[in-house]
Amino acid sequence: MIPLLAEALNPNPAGPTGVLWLVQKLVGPDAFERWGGTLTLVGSLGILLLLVVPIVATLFPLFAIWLERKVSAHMQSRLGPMEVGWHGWLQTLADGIKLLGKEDIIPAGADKPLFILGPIITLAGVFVMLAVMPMGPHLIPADLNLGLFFLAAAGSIEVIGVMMAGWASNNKWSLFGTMRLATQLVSYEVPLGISFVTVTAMAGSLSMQEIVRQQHGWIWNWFIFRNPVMPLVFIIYFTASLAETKRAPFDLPEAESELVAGFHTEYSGMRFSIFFLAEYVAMYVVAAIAAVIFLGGWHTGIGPFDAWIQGASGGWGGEDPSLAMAVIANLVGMHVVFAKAWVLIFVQMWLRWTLPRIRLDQVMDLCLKFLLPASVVFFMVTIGWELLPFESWTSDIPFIKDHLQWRLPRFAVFLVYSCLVGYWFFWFKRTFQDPFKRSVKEKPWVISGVSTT
Amino acid sequence: MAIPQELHRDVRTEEFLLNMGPQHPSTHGVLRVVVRTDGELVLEATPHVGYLHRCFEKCAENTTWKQVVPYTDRMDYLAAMCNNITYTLAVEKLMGWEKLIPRKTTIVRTLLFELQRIASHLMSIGTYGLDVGAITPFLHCFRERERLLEIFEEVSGQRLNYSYITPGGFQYPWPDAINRKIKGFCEYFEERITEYNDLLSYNGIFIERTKSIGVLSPQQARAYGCTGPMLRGSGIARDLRWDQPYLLYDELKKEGVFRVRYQGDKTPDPRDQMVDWSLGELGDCWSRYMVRAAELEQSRRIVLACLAKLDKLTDSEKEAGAGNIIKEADRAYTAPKGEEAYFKSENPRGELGYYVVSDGKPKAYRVKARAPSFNNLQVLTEISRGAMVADLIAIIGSIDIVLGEVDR
Amino acid sequence: MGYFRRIYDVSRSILIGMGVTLKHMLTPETVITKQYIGLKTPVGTGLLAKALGVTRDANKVELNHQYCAICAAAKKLGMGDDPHEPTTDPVAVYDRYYRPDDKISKPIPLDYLPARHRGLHYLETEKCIMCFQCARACPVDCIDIEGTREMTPGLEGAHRGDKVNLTRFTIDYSLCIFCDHCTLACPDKQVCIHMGKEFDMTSFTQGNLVKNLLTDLPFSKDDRALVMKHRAEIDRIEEEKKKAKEAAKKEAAAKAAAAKAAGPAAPAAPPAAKPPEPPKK
Repeated sequence: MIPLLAEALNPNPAGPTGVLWLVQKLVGPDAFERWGGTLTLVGSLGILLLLVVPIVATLFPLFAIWLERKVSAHMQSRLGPMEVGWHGWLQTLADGIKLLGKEDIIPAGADKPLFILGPIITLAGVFVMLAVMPMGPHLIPADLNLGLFFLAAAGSIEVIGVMMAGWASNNKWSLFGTMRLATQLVSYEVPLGISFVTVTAMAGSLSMQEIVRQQHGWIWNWFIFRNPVMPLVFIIYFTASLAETKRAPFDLPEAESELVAGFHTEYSGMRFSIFFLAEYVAMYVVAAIAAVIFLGGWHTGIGPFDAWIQGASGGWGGEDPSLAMAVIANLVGMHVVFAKAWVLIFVQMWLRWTLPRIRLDQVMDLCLKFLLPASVVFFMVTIGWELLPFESWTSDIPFIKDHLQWRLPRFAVFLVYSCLVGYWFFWFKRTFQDPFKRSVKEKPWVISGVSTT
Repeated sequence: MAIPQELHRDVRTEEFLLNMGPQHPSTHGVLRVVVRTDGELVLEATPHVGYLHRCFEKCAENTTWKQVVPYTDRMDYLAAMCNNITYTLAVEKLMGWEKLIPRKTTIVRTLLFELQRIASHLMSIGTYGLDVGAITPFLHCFRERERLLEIFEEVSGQRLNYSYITPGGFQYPWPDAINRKIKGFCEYFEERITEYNDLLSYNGIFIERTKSIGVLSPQQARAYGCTGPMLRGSGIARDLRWDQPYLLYDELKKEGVFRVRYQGDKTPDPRDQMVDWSLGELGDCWSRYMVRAAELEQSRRIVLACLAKLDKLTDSEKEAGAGNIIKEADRAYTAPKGEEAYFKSENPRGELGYYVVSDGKPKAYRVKARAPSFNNLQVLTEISRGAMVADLIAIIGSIDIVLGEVDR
Repeated sequence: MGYFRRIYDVSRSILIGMGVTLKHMLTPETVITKQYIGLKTPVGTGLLAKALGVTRDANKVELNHQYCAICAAAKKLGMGDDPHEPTTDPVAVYDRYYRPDDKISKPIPLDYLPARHRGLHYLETEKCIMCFQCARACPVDCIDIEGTREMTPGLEGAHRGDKVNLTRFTIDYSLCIFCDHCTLACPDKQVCIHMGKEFDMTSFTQGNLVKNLLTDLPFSKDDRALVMKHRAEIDRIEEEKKKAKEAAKKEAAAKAAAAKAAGPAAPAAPPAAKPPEPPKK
């Protein structure tokens, strides 16, 4: 402190003066030591984390609910909330305030302790999962070396909370919802767990940050392209996660048109909004997990840019970064994760408003007859693929040997799947055409996918 | 007081007695279904009706023939024009005015009947999607219904309970300028049908939900007196417009504008939407739903044919058909004592019949309505045996009841 | 094989469905919401009003047809540019519906409501001849008419020559079914009852749902007092007439008795002329 003061009051300064001097001292090249070295980097990022996690947990549902309402509205040829704030973006806040003002009703025959505990445990289970969600190269509340396993375990706490809520309501319809829920959630944890294990087999570690680090480089290094079957594993994971968060088409437990509101029929006011909050935070969590373990986490997929993020954010035993750059790099990484998560959340909403509900026995069919065998088969294929000696196979081909060798399979997979996705969009382009151009007179209307005899 | 016998039988401990009460999001009105289930499997589902009984037939005894028309609207409020037309034709049969009705009136009545059929089927398809969990097609159907209701409002002044068609003609003259608006709607609607099929009818999950559920065999359908899409979904090709034509359907039948759509119909018709009936079983929910979806396209073609006929009318015919041709039709008129008439028509839900009796006074002596939903609802107990609770909802939706009709 | 076929079928149908919803989301011309907020709450003239297509001109509301699919279809078919224009003649006395006072919610001339829209009634009181046809035509008997009508001697039957004094003409909107039989029953020469375009009659009590068509306001205590006074007046007049009749009868009887007593030669007194009775309600 004192040498700094002396330098400040130096009548004959050597370098920059005034504000520039101050800025140089604060965030310049030797600021790192001045601030106390590594400890302070972690400390400042810790402060960032303290801000970000609650924001994610509380503001995210605010915007997610608004987005859901607008997305659903536009898909349904209407406008959605338009009154409160610009295009209704404050609607959720208004609804929250309204819910706060509602009477807190506990049904007469309800099991009071369970009734009150139910939503709390659900929310707690979901929030706890945020502890191991990486948001940036060094932005993770707790980088456990069994992060993925922790996620699978914490996801099961939600089940208990919901079951308590349904049972304690003293309502036959709520009980229906609960029984359906228990079956659904517990059985879908199996394909979910197996897809986690598949990813672990490829990464060699359960730690979330390690998994992300393994996907550095260009876009074909992402785990989703490592294998011809990894995109299918991603789809299995996505489906299982839809079932875990009770989103349509798996929303039987809270089926609106059958059971009024399923397990949360008897909840009103703030208790209901706790369930609502838990649902949306769970949506974020599963989308973020998919982004992290399949889609490269905070890597943008552009090689040099990722290298810069990695280096500037505090390295891994590399050069000392400047504090400002560290913060900026971490924030950039965080936004990349958020962007990927938001895209997946949009896909979740898209599916919800397109598909009808699947009946419970069909849900179980899907899990046990399709997802479970498929995920096991893909796991075997993944292990086998990891063992294949690609280097020795391609050690003779001149170009590949030098440039692509061990990356060839993932590059090929990336090419093939991008072509498929591109073809799908191109094929769908016809649905974006002027509706009056595509008339029925061109060709007889053919039913999708089924032969007509 | 001793416990009644039924309660003895009903109070069991290993089964679940569930009350899908009059207030429920999916019972299409105030229908109470008492369900005895074994877990999720339905053992017996008994419908209890009467929550919407409004003494329509008793009220009709105190009013003149024309004043009954607004009451008929409110019976099947989703197909109000059809109710109006059927009742009007019954009274015209009673009074002997059938030959006096000009051609334009007949064409317009057919047009409105079919437009109303489109609106009613849109509602039924949309709410069926809602019951099954698909929320978006419901709003798309309502967007189309909005267009139709705008048209109906221009014609009659009301969006739902029109009371536009009265014995003798119409309440107001037919606004000719609306023909082009209806034509515009038909053109716009063609693409929408394809969209509904893409989004809902051929969706794999929807088919899984409705295939082989609530199977109603043809024998059962006949025995219970089911009519309309329930019957045609079970493979029986019976349609009152075809078998006992009224209004303009004779002419349209001869011109080949429409035919009966039923489960198993293999007639190749390039103008129609081809429906692959092999996707559904005979008499299941999907077939009944698909009959309604296929009838959308058919009704659209009938509307276009009627519009073409309206264009071809001569001026004198147009003059004759403007408004009410029977001078006394706005006042109270009487039929000879003891006269009675029964008229039946193909409502979107089935066979709707009105039985009218006169006793020589200006007030209607007896008006009895044979409502299709009432008869169709009887089969609920039969076809829901062994289904799951979620399927029960799908079955009720596929019967397409309107409680206003069931309870009158 | 059917196992994989089933997966393929279901996945394909799901993807097609997703394409339909995405298309709806990205094309604004499918939006059908008609927003009424510009009518009841002030939106000003700024960005929001423009976005909603609502102009703040006091009594004028326009809808934004930029994205209307029906207009697009009509244009495609070359059917003229505005199929939304009113297709029937507007009611001739439409102007009368603009009320400058704000005792009731200001009637909003909703231009996009068609001319035949059946809203709340309004009456041209100077044309009404109290023929009761509308009350008789109503299926639910919601029209209540009271008043006096002085018949022009020699011209019995309701027509304009009579002096009509309407004290009460109310419609009970808790009963009205908006069937429009009343307007059609009004005699051809003087159609005086109409159904307008106002549709909003929310109130906190059921009593307010009875609309007095003579003032276009809910039937209030003052109106009720007026009607009671009118009835009392009529009762009084009838009482007086009855008394006069009885007095005349007594007189005639007394005269007859006097004439009888006087002798058979006296000519019989002519019977007292009965004054014409006002028609009973």
